[in-house]
Amino acid sequence: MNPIQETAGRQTVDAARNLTGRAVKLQVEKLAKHYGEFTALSPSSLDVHQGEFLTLLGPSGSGKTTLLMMVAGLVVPSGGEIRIDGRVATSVPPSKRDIGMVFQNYALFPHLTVFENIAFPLRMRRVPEAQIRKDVMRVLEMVELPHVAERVPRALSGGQQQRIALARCIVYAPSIILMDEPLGALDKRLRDQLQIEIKNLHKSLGTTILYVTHDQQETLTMSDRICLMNHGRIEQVGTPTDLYFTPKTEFGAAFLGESNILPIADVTASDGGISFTLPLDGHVRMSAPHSTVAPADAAKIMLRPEWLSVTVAPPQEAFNSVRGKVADIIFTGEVTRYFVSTGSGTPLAASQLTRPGDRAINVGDDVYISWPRERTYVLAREGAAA
Amino acid sequence: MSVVAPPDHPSSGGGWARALAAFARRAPLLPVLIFLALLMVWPVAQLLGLSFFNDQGQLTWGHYSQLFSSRIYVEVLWITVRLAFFTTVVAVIVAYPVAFVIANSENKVRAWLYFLVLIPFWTSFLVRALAWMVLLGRNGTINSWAQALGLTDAPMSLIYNFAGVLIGTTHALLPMAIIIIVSVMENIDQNLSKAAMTMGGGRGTAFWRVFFPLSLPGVTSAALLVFLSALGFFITPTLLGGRREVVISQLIITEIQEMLNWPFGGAVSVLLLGCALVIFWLYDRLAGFSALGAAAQARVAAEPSRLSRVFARLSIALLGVLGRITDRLLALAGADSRPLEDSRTGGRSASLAWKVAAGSVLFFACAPIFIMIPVSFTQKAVMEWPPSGFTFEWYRMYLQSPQWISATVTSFTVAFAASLLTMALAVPAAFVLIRQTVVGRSAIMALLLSPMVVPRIIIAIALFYVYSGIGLVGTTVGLVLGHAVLSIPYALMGVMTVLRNYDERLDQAAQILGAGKTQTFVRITLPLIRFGVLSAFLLAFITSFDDLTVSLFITGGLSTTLPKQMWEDATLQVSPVLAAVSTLIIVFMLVVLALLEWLRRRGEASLKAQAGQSQ
Ligand SMILES: Nc1ncnc2c1ncn2[C@@H]1O[C@H](COP(=O)(O)OP(=O)(O)OP(=O)(O)O)[C@@H](O)[C@H]1O
Ligand SMILES: [Mg+2]
Repeated sequence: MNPIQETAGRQTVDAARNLTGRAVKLQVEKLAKHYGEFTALSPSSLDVHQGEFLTLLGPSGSGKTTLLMMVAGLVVPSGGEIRIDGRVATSVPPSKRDIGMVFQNYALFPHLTVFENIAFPLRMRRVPEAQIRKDVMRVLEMVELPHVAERVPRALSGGQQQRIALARCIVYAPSIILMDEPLGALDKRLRDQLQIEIKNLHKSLGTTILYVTHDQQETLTMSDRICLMNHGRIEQVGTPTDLYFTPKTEFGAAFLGESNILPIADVTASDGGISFTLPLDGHVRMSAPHSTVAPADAAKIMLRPEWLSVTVAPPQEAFNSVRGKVADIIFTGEVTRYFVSTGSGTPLAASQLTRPGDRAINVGDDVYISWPRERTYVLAREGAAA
Repeated sequence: MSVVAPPDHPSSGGGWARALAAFARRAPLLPVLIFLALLMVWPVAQLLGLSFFNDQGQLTWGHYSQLFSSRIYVEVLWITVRLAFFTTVVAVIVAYPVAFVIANSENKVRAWLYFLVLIPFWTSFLVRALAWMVLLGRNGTINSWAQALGLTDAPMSLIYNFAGVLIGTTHALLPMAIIIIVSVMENIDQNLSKAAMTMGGGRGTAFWRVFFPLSLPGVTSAALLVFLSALGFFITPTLLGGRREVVISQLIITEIQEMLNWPFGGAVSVLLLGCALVIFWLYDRLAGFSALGAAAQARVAAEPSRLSRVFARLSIALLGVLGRITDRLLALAGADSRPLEDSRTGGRSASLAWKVAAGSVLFFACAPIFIMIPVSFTQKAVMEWPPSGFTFEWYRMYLQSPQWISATVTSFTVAFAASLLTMALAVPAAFVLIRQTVVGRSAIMALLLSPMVVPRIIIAIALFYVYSGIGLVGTTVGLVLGHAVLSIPYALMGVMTVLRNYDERLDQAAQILGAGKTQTFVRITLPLIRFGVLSAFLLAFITSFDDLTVSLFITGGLSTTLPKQMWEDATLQVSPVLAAVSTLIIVFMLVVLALLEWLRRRGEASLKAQAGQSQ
């Protein structure tokens, strides 16, 4: 385990540890989908634990919806298996999977009132009328919209429709809820508010949630674990901190959060890790003592901007550093961002907390960019064994 | 042709189960495919096959050499092609301004103008041909007015010659041409013409170089369908043509109904079908099939043939010249200095010209139909103009004639049964075609739409031939089956259009919420698409109610339908009872059309409700 992880975000890590102790609710095994010659999802495996909030994150077209729809039973897999509570569910019809789903466009039935929309799953389960009335009103109160029960969906605002869709999904207490970009169509304020509501619902219901979003902030704040997808493949599954601090691939490093990714050369093994040179600034020799990547596989290093210090004076011995010229400084409030050109490639980005009287460095100054040696995060070559 | 699923890469175990499930999902296509294979492909193939054998069942070219050795037959073919050609040219040229005005009007006006096109479109060919008999006859409307105005002394011969037939067939096929062209024009972005003008083109250039080329797919597919329909036409030529205007379908009817010469009739049918296929082939070379169909966009074929490249280059040069000429003319008329927003593609004077042209064409399309109404109250014993006096005599005669009443009842019963059957076959197929990927999709679509393309007369005699072998001639069942064949393409396209606009996620949501397949269909899908399905049903109903061709061959005695009864009366003696029946049919059509329009608006409203909530 990398020491970086232990210093940062200890709580979430613990939460994930707790989850691994729980039963596996949903198991996806070598699940694949082809459309003719086109592969929408290569054989992928994923376990989701009881009560977990797992987010599928990835660029457009990476297969998130495809995976979700197969779990729901709305798209027939080309291969592989789906297990719910340990039982094979691959060919169970959607109505029998005990799954709820919130669609991106809400998919409220336009010809039914809000009440009837929410009552629909209960009627399908032949719940007695009195119970239906009670349950519908209970969830309507939960989403704070009891006064719209007799309206048709058209007569609601986007945010209200979204909450009705949520209410319809939780009214029958499905044990798994799937959400495909449920907040995608909403403005920022509503999105923030509903994020909290969803998170609270998750806590109080203890449901397993599989969530899809494009929004990084949403992903990081809501998820217990993240499943990173690219080109119809699962790139990495882990807690938000796992993905942020120890991405397995360059794609992961670049996709989540900001990062500087630099190619390295002349890699050799040294004191438990590796040492290498950067083809910048006169090939200074540096080391990454904690790297677990074999020297032959090491290709690049990743440095998060907030790990870097910008100083005029040379750093201490325990630091790796490069020299450069400040190309730009952007003051964003609590953080000041420096862009330092090192002679080749794009300038390195460094972020530092702003302190009063921080006027020592100006554009055009020669500076050192430095970072503790053990924070040098090494990325393996693509295709190298992990 | 296979309806089996694409091999969904059944990789792991259970591959067979998966393939089976995939097949089951596409199985609803099977009934309609089997139905058309049995009642359309098989009979037509048999009919065509007949023409290659002699009485002893030996292979022979005899029927064809007979066909081409006699000048009569070659002449008939020539007359048919000439008639189809002129009909196509006139109909498309006349249809264009109407389509232009409709496509460029605001919504309300557009709906009304469109309604004016639908009235003649859905009024039967027979009623319209009868109307032209009254208008063009020696003692018809036009002659009596011309004489009253002193334009001529003796009655002109407007009917029983080529001109009369041409007017009749053009009038018959014009509405279809307009509808097809409008459907393409509606998809042309209004801003393109404006963009052309901001880039320095005049209004004429904007029209000829931008709008017109983009509307060409509509023009070419209208031309194709008008030509194909005109080739197989016989109602109008029989009623309005003279002895010299015998067309190929009449020849087929004579050979089969009077001479009972099946092989020779088959040979003539091959000729007719051959003509149709040659036209298809030429069309494909020049325009490409991507241009066919309502939503056709001006798409360039991936590998244009040399012929079409030459054609394209020529037309670009021609359009440039036309554009410049129009610009000059507009400049002379002082119409080119108006602001852009003023109009869409022409100055105000040009757009007035469009409107006048469109107005006269619409008048030509609609007015003749209503001539039957006053005539039905005449006291004279012939359908003549001007009607004299006022009487309900002809309506009374209709109501008291057991023959007419039985024909009316048969028509309604058959139309109802046939459209029910059509819907039962077409709705499931439409679901599969819209929601599943199907191997050989275009071949399947071609088969399903073929009853619209294969000349109806060929379907009719092919059914007659097969039916006579199995005792279905003269039965209601036979008629219902035959009419279902004719209605399937219309119903299918109607339902497919509704489904294309239906948000499938609603069904998925219902399934996830616990509804089974049937529950989902009954509680969610059906309530939302019912207006569209009902209008498809009405389309099928009218198609059957209106049909003369199939009824002509496979009915007789008690199973006679209304159009057939009218046809027999019209070819024997033309009594004003026909005008009375025509009036009743027109009124019925107007009611159905109004109903369709109402359904369309309700349907649009419920689709809007779906679209509205996703914002
Ligand atoms: N029915 C289909 N036929 C063919 N290809 C499809 C079909 N459905 C999806 N695809 C393809 O599969 C790939 C994955 O699609 P998917 O919808 O899962 O992406 P996604 O990750 O949800 O993207 P987005 O973030 O844009 O929603 C895409 O390239 C898409 O074009
Ligand atoms: Mg998606």
